[in-house]
Order: sequence, then C-alpha cells, then structure tokens
Amino acid sequence: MTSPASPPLTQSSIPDGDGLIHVRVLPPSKLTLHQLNYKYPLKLISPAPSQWAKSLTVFVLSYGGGLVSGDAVNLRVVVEGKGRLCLQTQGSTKIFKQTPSSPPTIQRMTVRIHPGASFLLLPDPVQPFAESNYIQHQIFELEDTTDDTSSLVVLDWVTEGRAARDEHWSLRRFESRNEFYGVKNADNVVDGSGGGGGGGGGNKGGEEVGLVRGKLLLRDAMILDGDDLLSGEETLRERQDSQTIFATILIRGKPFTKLIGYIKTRYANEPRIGQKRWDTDDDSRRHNSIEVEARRNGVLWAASSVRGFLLVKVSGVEMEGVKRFVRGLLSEVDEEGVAREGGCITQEFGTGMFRCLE
Amino acid sequence: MEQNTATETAGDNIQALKSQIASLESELAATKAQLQVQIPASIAGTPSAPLHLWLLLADSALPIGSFAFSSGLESYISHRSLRPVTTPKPSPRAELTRFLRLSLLSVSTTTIPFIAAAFRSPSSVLELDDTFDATTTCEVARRASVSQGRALCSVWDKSFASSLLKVGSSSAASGDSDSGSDDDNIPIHHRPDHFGPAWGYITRLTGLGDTPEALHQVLFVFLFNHVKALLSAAVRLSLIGPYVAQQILGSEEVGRLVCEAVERGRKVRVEEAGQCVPVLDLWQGRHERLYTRIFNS
Repeated sequence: MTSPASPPLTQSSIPDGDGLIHVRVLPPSKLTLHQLNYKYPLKLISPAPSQWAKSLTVFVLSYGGGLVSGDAVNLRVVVEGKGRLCLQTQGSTKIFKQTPSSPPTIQRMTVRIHPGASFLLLPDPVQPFAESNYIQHQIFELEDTTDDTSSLVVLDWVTEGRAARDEHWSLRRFESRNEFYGVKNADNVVDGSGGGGGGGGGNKGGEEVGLVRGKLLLRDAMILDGDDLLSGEETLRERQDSQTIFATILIRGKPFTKLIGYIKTRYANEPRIGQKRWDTDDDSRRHNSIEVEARRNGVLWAASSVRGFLLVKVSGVEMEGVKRFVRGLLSEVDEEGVAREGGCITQEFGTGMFRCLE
Repeated sequence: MEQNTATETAGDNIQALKSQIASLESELAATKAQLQVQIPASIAGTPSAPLHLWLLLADSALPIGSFAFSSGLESYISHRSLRPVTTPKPSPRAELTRFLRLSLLSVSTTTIPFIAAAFRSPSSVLELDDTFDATTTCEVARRASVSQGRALCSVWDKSFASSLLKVGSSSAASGDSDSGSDDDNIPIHHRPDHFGPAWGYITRLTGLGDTPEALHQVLFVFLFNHVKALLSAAVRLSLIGPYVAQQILGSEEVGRLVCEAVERGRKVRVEEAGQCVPVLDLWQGRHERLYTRIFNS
C-alpha cells in the first residue's frame, strides 16, 4: 500500500518464517501499514481498511492451515503512537506431529507497543495434534507503563487436539510463554536517568540479557509434557482433568479500564461454591444468560489482578461453550447476554474484532 | 569327660555364633550400602548435612503459618463434589493422593527452580524474587507465598540469625578464612518476599556449601514440608484421619514423588519455569469463591 519499500524485494531478503508488521499513524490520524513483510511458512493478510476504520486488522496465516514439524515462525510487530492493530487468524493453528530428528515447531512473536498505541491479539486456539512438539513464545514490550497508555488485550488458548480422531492431549510437548516487559524507547535510554518512572530494573536487566528488554512485568507460562509420565501412571490427559480447552486472557492499559472493571465485577458476582446452592433463584437476576449457560456447561474461570494486569484463566470441557463465554466477557455483555454498545474493544477498535470467537 | 564334652559343645556354639555374627555383619554392610545408593545424602551423614538445621526447618512448629494454607486442596475438593456423579465416586484418600501428585508436579516446575537459583546465587535473590513475583500469576498462590516467605524471613531475623548465620561478615569475624572466600561475598541483608526464593536464600545463609548434595537437601525438605502441610490440611478437612496421614507421609510413594520432584525441578532454569498442571491455577484461583473456607489458599 503506502509502504515505501517494494514488498517483493524485502520479502526475498528475509529469513524463512520471518515477518514484520509496522503500524504508523500519519497526520492527522491516518492509520497505515508502514511495513508488512513475511516469508513462507508465514503469511500475513491485511484487508484494506474502510475510511473510518478505527483500527487495522492483520490475519496471521500459515500455508495449508497449520505448522508442520520444524517450522519456525518469527513475527515482529511494532505499533506506533495512536496506532490500533488487531491480529487474528482464520481457523485454529494446527500443529502437526513431530517427525523424527526434526526440531520442535516454534512460533515467536515480539510486539512493541509505543505510548498511546493499542494492540489486540485475538486468534483462534492452537490445536496441537498427537505427538506434536510446539513452543510458542510471545513477548510484549510496553513503552509506557507509568500512565499505562501502551495497552493490549491478549488471548492465548489451546485445545486438546483432534477429538474426532481420539486425540485428547496426546501431544508430546507444548510450551506457551507470554512475557511482558516495561521498556523505554531508545531516545530515553540515551538520556539515562531523565526518562524516570518506566521501571527501576530496566537498565540492569538489559545489560544482562545483552539487549534493551527492560523490566519483566509479567510472565505467564504453561508447559504440557506428554512424555513426562507422573509416578502413579497419571497421563497428561488425566492431569488435564477432562478439560479440553484452556484459555488465558491478559489485559492492561488505560483504554481498557472499563473492560477490566467489568470482568472484575463479573468475577465477584460468581456464585459461591459450596455444598448447598443458595444462589439458584438469583441466577436470572445477578448473572447474565451467558454466564448461567457457561456454568451449566462446566466452564471454570478465575480472574486475578497481578502487577498492573488483569489475568483471566478459563477452562472448559467443550469448545463452543468456552468461546461463547470468552466472547461474552470481552464484549462486555449485559444482563440479557447482548453485547453492550459501548464495549471497550468495540469502542477502541470498531466492529469485527471477535471473528475468532464466533 | 563330661567337662570336655561341655567345653567342646561350648566351643562349637562360639564358632557358630561367630560365623553367624560375621554373616550378619556382611549383610548389614550390604544393606547399608543399598541404603546409601538410595538416599545418598540424608543417612550417609555427610558433613554438609547438619541434622540440627534440618530438624529446625522441617519442624511443623516452625512459626511461618503453613498450617493456614491448603495450596488449593480445599478448593479442589469443593470442585470435585460439584461434579455429576457418574463413575463410582473415588474415596477421599484417592482424591487426596491424586491432588498430592499434581501439587508436587506443579511445585516442581514453578517454585523449585527459584529455590535452586536463590540457593546457587544468593546475591541475586532480590531479582529472582521479583521474577518469581512476575511469574506467579495466581492471586491466591501469590498471597500464600508472600505470607510464608515474609514469615520465614522474620523467623530468621528474630530467632535463627544469631546462631545459624554462618556466612558473610560473621564468618570473616571468626577468622574462618579457609571456609571459602565465596561465602564472604554472600550478602546477608536481603529479605525476599516469596517463600521459594526466601527458602533457597536463607538455607544458604546457614553456611551450606553450593554442592549438589546440599541443594538436594534444601529442596527435599521444602517439598517434604509441602507434603506435610497438605496432609495436615487434609486431616482438618476430614478427608483422612491422622493415622492415615502419617501412613501416607511415611509411604515409599511419597518418598519417591518428592525425590522425583526435586530431580525434575532442579533441572529447570528460572526462565523455563511454568505451570504444568493448568487446572491447579483454576482451582486455586477460585478458592475465594468458596462458600465456606477454613484455609487461606
């Protein structure tokens, strides 16, 4: 589009599986994809935004709808001030069986969020097939953690595999890490002490790692090991306690204050767990239809406020139920289970953000 | 004659007894050797295993308030009872031992790497503490960890530091120069918040060397205490009686599980630590939603 570099040339010069998305806002307030590069097996598609679009959407795809053994994807994302970017997928990310002597399948993503920029990551779930070996490492670098104007909503979820082929957590290994760092932008680092606030341990941490990554704000890591059989012969499937899907939602930043408040209230309203159900009659009054339905479907969820983030964990025995529940939560549904007009995500990004949750 | 036969019989008896003693002694030696193979550090009595220290740290009366936490057991049991009854209901004991296995597995990949790291490099304990804080995302688990960690540090300050502190300035003052100049570099005034990093750091302050055996002990005692706290919670939740609790605690299975957890956890680097039993985070996170609860976690 308006990208100054000619895409074919750039694309041939980058390594396999690499990609770059750079969102820039041109004055007065025109959202542009300053750069969009990718190379097999990664594919990025950006539908042309309508004139009044509040945000840009990029679809992260892999050829053939999945990643095979040994594939390594390395996506770098930059969202500059006032930029609004939403990453989605078109269908679950299938992770195929690891072939002998090939390395695990790896997806890395590093997202830099400038002050005043906002980022959504709302993909379909990852679906690790039997005997797959997958490492997902997502790093989010937030430039403004003082006023919290670098904002994001990240959804990371995984399912048990191909249930139709009797795959229930029969993967070999699955690792997912979401790391959030408070970083100062390059100018401030040169200034030294002038920047202030951004994070005390920033420089120290950077020296050790050898790059300016800044202070670790939060790390959410899940490791599923199918090989490591527990004493007592409890398999990974049994350890998952008949849950077929696990979702983690991480939210931070000023623009999402209302959303965070909404989710906290919803969690506080969860009925008490006990032998007697004192709350049965209250269900219709205090809980919306989606919550009532989710509870019937065995959706479990918990919300924590941790170090400036809201972290929500959801699990369930059935995919669709969890999807509906997560969508309800993120679109801030009202008592009737209808998405609210002024929901944070819709207000900031416009409509169509919840495609992967439909 | 009679006397002669008497002495001969006596002589035979003595011979028989001597050979019996010899065979028993060799058997004893062999058994001892087996024991050493199984548990290298604890019984062998290496100089790095001061019994006094371990008895203090493994004491259930250690005032760090571990009795107030069930590490998610209470919530787990409540959630289990909500399930529709389809298969024959597992016995409370079966539920407990299952939870015990899951809990040990989870602790081994979340907390143990940080204890090991704090023990190996006590000077970076505050960074480790902050990283652990960033990595522990379950609110309920965080509260439990901070509460016990701070309590351990105050017990150290108020009770143990005066007698047990064996590194840093005090060892230099006692002229113990050959005990290793490394020990003198260990800062003694850090006070980490979280239980795991505090455990690794404070055990190091007692003068234990950075040896694999000492680390094994440090991790073993931490996990053994964890099992004791869980069993004690189970007794108070009326899942099992006190005799069964001791039976489980003394069982070969618990010994093996703890050793496996130690071995698994010490191999994991801090950056690689993570939750390997995701349902545990949900059960524990939902602890606050229990209608009645007797524990803080």
